[in-house]
Amino acid sequence: MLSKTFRVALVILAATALVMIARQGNAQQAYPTKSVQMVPAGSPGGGLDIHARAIEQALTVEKMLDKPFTVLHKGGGGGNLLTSYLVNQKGNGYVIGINSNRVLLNELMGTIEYGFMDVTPVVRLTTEYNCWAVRADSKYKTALDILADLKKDPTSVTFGVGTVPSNDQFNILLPSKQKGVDYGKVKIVAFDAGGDAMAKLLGGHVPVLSTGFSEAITQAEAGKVRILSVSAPSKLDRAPNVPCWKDLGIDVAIYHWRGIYGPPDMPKEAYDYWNKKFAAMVKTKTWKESLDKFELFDAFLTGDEFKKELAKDNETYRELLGAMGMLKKGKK
Amino acid sequence: MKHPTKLSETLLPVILLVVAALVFISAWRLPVTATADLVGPKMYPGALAVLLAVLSGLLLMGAAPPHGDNEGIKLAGIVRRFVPLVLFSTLYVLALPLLGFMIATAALLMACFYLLGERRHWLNFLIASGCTLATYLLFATLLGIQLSAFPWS
Amino acid sequence: MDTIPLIMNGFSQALTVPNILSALFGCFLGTVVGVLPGIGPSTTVALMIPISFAMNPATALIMMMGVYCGAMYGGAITSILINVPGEASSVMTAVDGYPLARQGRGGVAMVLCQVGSFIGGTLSIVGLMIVALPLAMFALEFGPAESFSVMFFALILAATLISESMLRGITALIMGLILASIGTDLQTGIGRLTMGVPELLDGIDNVVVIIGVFGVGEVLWYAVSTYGKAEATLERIGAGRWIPNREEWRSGWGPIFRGSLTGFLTGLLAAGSVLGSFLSYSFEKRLSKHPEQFGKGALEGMTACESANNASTGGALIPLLTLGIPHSGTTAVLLTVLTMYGLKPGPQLMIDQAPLMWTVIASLYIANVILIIMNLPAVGIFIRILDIPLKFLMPIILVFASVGAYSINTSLTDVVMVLLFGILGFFMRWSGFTPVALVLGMVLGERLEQSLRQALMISSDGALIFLTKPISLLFLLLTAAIVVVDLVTRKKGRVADDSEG
Repeated sequence: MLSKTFRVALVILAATALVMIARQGNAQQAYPTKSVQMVPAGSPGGGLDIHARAIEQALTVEKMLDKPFTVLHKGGGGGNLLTSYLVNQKGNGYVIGINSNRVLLNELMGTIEYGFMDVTPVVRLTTEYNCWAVRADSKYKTALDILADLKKDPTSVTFGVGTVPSNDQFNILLPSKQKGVDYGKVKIVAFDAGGDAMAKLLGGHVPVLSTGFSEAITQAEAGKVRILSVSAPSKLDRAPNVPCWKDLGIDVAIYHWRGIYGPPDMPKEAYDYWNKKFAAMVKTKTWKESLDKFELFDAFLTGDEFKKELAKDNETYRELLGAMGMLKKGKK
Repeated sequence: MKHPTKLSETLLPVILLVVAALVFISAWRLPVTATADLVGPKMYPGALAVLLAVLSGLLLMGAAPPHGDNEGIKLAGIVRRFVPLVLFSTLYVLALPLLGFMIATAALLMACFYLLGERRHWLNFLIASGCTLATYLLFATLLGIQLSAFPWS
Repeated sequence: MDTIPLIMNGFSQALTVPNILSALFGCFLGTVVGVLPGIGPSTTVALMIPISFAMNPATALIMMMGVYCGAMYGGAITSILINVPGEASSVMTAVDGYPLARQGRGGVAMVLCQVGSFIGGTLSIVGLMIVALPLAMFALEFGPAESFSVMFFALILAATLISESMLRGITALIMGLILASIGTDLQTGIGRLTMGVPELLDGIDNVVVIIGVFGVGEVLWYAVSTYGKAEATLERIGAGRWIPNREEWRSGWGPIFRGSLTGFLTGLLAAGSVLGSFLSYSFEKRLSKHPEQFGKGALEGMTACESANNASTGGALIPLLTLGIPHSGTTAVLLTVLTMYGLKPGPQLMIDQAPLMWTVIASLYIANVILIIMNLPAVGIFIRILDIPLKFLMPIILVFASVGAYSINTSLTDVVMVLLFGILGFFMRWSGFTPVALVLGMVLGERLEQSLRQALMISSDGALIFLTKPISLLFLLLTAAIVVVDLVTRKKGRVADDSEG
């Protein structure tokens, strides 16, 4: 017969083993076990913050939220603070960030050493489209008139944009390139982001604006400006008379997308979880309502597709920025 | 023109000369891009740096009349008050993420009160902890700024 | 369009119990935000977005208007009491307000500021209601060339005001301009003078510089200047009286009305409340019979500046409400809020959403009334801060400055920067430089550079654009006139001095 002490020891040992097995089992089956930090690369009230709120709202209302989010704003550094933050969180499955194509642009411009390969692209969520707008009394009736003028003399038309480098700018460069314009010479003036550029167009200080569609459409509906073209792959419902680039015989479509990124070496369970979760979320009614409200369009891509798309975008940007002389040395 | 000799008259212009040189070099090394304009990203800070250098040079040569606001400042005061205050504040920034807001802030306040001449530790402690708590309530509770109160929170 | 029934309807909508309560809460929160250094009205309004989801649009917007107006009122208080302006627009308030407080007239200064704020705020809403549309069209005339000339005018006006030593003033101004050029260049997207610090890519926040050179600089100055003086350990400023006497009231009216007009017009231009407060201060100094007292405790400049920064609220709302174009930080966040309620802000907003918009305008009046009723008695409480011995007050200012800086981006980098600018502020003062000139260069610098370059890029005939645009030409001529007048009077003054000596 075993001694009493030994028996007690055995029971304790067995219990400990059981608890450990149970714990491990728990950890395996139930990601997430704690709250997940969602980090928009912008300040409260900005576009990326709106995405964070819309995601939180859609998942909550549709009862799909397993663990609550904590939201941390990393607004500074033109999006770079988020990227550095994610890189520092290597292997952590409990942090996801929201950012735009600045992840690619900033690395190409050399303001940060990390690019999209140094973080984990999780999914692409939404997009906006860019457009060309002129004042209602402008002599230009179509985008092709402007491109024809540019072909004769690339400095003949000055464009206003919100910021540089940006999709506003690429929405000028790519169509120009297709039409054989010497696009490195086109005059592009950046105004403060948001309303300032529109005010300068309305005041007649620049002849053409390349800007977000949602900003221009309210002005167009009030008869103040005319939208000449939109960067979407096909015509948009809200502006059925505005041609997209393909309608004008130019093979260009520009997505001003926002997507989710994770830290490098994000655990597979977390990556799969968010891919499934977001794929389900974008089909919900609440999410679609939010998109309508903020004039966003669905542009969902799974992580693998997103990564391929990023690699393609990165090459396009590299070429365009290279032609503008904006690439960091050694990136050509 | 009389050349200024006092430290208060010469220190800042000398530093500004160095700053002007650094600004000029770092502006000069900016890449030239096709989108750059006449004034460009380089010309503007470069020109300002040159202006700053010229102005600091003029100041060093005594072009501006001496001023009279610095009688109370003695070198001993700078060593005994300025240096410790800057040191405390630096330690405070380093300690904030480690010790949390409450401990770091209360410690900073107590150290400063002592430095400025209040020797009653109990009074310093009371005022420091009261102010720390009030600041926390204002910023973290009312305005929702994310501040970790203690190392364990 | 018959506006009177719309206004009446707006008031009746705004004057319901939940709406008044939310206005009260907004005004209180706004005042707190204005009093505390760092976090500003635009961030606060953005932080309120989640709360506002649960409210109807009118109630939420009324609360946000309360925050917007309240922050402008509150800004004066810390400027006067402890020399820490919470926003760039109250820097000029500190320049005279803090010396006034040290003379025992801090309460008087605060009362005049509150009254000035009330009148400025109210007049600007009247302006917003009556002349919104024509003014909005006028604001569109301001292109890059016009912006540059106005900024240049403001800088020269300020530089000629620096009385002690012109050379030191201009040096400080240039330092500010260099600071403003740090960060990502808008036209090319490349990072300038960032020294590899990623946080600097967005440039240095004006508020960080202001809290540093004024607040922390003052703490360091106090600590060093009282060293070895035994009597200093008991020193306190002392509250003093806070009801202005008849003479003080009389000196206030002119600045209040002139400041309101300047603030309203500059608020309308994208320049926001900062330009207005600097300009109105400069105007008052030029009009004054005793300009030598400015900066040492004159009521006029400070009152004008506070009236101006409140009057800018109404002006800044005009482009948003009539054209759907936001300018300043807070109006941009308000645009987001309107979008969240599905209101599609645009040029049609005042027509499609007329009842709601007039409720918002009515709520601006209500906010101003609430604020003056709430803040005047509060002066009596705030003034007690001056009874705290300085050896305790100064370290507390240091903590407020640090936490305030941290609250802007929840980043410790800003705290380090505040400390560095505090050290700079101390050495500037030691060497006889005015931190005000540095701050002025800093806050106007970015627009000065960008509008200069935008204008040159747009122009088909180079720098001539500044002379061919009438508004731009007008401001350049004004600038030239001021320089000539100053040179002449200075020469005269010097001749007079020589004959005396």
